Amino acid sequence: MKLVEFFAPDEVDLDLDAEGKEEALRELIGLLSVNEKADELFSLLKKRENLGSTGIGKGIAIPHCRSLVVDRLRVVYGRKPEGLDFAAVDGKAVHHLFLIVAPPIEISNQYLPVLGKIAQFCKNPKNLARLDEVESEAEFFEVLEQADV
Amino acid sequence: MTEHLDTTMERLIALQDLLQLKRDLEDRSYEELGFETGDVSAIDAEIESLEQEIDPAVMRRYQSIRRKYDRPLVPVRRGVCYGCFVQFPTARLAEMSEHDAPILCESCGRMLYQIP
Repeated sequence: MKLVEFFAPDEVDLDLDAEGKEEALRELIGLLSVNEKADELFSLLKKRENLGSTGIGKGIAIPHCRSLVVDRLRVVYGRKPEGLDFAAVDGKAVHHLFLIVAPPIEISNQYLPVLGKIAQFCKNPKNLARLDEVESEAEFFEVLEQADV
Repeated sequence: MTEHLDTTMERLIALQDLLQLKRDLEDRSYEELGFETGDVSAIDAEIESLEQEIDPAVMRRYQSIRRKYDRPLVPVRRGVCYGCFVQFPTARLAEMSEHDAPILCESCGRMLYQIP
């Protein structure tokens, strides 16, 4: 499957309100609509972040975990044009956030491959420059489609 | 310190999520993605703390199933156990919402929880 196929239009936010890591995680979790399970997910993502930031540098963060609170692999995207403090490894502000949550048992076992696809997508500076420019969810999907990851 | 969790099932889910996180962090292909993982043993303290909050009888059963399967707790969806993919009797599904203690799959013996 191509990366673009893991996203849904209502799971993209091009203008996050968050200023810091915890707010950003909560806002991204909000896009998943897991309702009362949001706190459980937040707690697990925080534990993962405590072991080392998933802010991988160059303005990108890819928080991720596997949890029983979701029944299929979910990926959401959030953008903060002004940047936010995610305690990234390079100390720089984060502008692009991809949250990945997968159930522990996945028949197609796509969790690590999807993580890899997003990392690969983000390695190309042209892709990030285009994400900076998108003005609608439709344009976001176009960028992913054309990236051919 | 583990935050307060209300039911046995919530604790079991949190426990299994942490065990899964640890397993992923130790996976070589995860390592190759280049994420910082720090001191994974910090997760052990969380796991231990959570285990102490779970009813000892339930915990013994969980550990016993874990000797056989990596993931002793699995979802049941549309009447199917997602551990062995065998149909679970619908009459027993109703019991799941009435009891805090986990119900076992009659086919594989894993603990079941229901996804709404």
